[in-house]
Amino acid sequence: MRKGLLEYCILLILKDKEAYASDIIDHLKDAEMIVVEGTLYPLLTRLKNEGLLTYRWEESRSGPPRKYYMITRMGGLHLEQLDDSWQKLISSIEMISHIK
Amino acid sequence: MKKNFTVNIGGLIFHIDEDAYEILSAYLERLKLHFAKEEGHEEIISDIERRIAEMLQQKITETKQVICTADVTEIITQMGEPVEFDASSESNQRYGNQKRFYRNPDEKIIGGVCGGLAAYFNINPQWIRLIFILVTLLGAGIGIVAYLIIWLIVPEAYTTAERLEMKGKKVNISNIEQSLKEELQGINKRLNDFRNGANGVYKKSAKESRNLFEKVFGLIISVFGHIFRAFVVFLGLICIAAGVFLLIGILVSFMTFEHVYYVSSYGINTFSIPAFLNILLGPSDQSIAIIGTALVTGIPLLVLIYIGSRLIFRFKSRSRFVGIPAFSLFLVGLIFCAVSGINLMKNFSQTANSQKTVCIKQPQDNTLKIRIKSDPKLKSILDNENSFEIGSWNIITNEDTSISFGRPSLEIIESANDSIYLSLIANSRGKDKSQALSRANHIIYNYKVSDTALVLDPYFFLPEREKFRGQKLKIVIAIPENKQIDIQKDAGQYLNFIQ
Repeated sequence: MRKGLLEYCILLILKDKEAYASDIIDHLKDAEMIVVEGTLYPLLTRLKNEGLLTYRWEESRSGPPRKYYMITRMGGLHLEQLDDSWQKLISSIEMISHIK
Repeated sequence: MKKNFTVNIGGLIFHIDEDAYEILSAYLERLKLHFAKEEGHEEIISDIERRIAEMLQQKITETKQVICTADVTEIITQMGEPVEFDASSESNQRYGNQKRFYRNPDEKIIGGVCGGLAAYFNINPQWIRLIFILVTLLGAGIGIVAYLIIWLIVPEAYTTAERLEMKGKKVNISNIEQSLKEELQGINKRLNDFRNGANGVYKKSAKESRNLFEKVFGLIISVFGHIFRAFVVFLGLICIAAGVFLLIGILVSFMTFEHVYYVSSYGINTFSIPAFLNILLGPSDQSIAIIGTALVTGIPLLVLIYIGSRLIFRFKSRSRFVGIPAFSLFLVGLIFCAVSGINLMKNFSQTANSQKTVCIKQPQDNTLKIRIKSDPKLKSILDNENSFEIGSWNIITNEDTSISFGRPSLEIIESANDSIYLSLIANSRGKDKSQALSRANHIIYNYKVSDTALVLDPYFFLPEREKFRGQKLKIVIAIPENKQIDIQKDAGQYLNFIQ
């Protein structure tokens, strides 16, 4: 389940703004969703291959060029579905935890 | 002092000492191995390398120009060992990307055949259904046969992996999760639909902060929810109890063959459907009628029991899975009953009369006494609890024979001349006129003319094994105007009077 949740988190982070991989990593670390950075890269590549994300290259003065990620329209739609699923999941669990 | 290497990582040049180099290249090898099977692995590796380069850059200063072991170790810790990368997709290769034809459980009206075809060809299932109907109409039912064959042969996509194969999506973890989420939505929806009342408030409370009012309100709703649930369970129990009870009754009725109506010494009454049908129908029609009746009565009861259990136990419904075969069996039962009903009707379509008239000797005084024969033995047989009474008929059955007794009707009319006549008009129904007539002739009725009175039997009867075909007997007594009739007072109990 974790892998799917991470992808959901990535889409959430990119929902309103673009970000570098390292930014995304920082957000996820703050939220204590990942511990090691290496987890992120395969996910980013996969999401990009599925068309949910895209990127452009940003030249960096002091380093190698970096990928600047942004969400695509399809990614946005996918995100809405994930939001829905998430909300329903929450209410289901709420309901279950209230069953005697 | 250490030897150093000059390496190119992510497009940047670094100086790295030999020990650190060993460690770093071993790490990079492990990464390559780990991602080897994944799609886009080169891109992933180069992303990671670029990131490593970025991190290494920060280790280099004016005074420290070479990457050392500590740096590398730190970077590896930060980036993570491959094992820490939450089990990357192993199952990529397991199922492959082939698209398989399954019956579709999510798009199922009858058997999911059209839904499965729709998933395979990526068309809207309604088109497929339309095609099937057209083919059936034009091809004299070929569509139905084809549908049944596919239904029997092609399996249904039960597991999530099979569902993905059906749609032709790659079977990997993220897709499976997507699928699971969709299923969860489906389950959710059903849960929501079932528990209508409590739902709205729960959702509301989850989103907004609960103030006291909402808490109390939520409590009240949940109490109602529990009461509702208890009621549902109670209803389910009633359904099950009624269904089981009636079903047992029906089963017993089908299992006894001897008497149509049987009262045993324990005071148990049974009514045997097969024996009853035996009186009406010939043997070949009987089996169809029995099966038909069994299905028409049994299936609804089974459904009742099933509904009762579902109300109580709340299983995830495979309701379509149960509903459709049950319904079709019921339909088959109906058809069988209809067919036997029609056959039966045919046997009742024609009617014929057979009449016998005799002249009765004039009585000494001007009064004709009419008495009903009292036959205690017969009476006791008929009053026997094992005789089955329907309308004015009594039917006594045994294992292989039945005797039917009917009540005649009596009509007294004015005679055209000075004589007294007694007419027996026997009437029966049958498949055709001649059969009706011969059945009418089979009716047996006895009476006795003595010097004192005319004694009539209270019953006419059919010979053994004669089938019931609505046989009637009318006794007509024609008496001249000036004579009188003295009929015993309780004659009406035995005969039907026509005035």
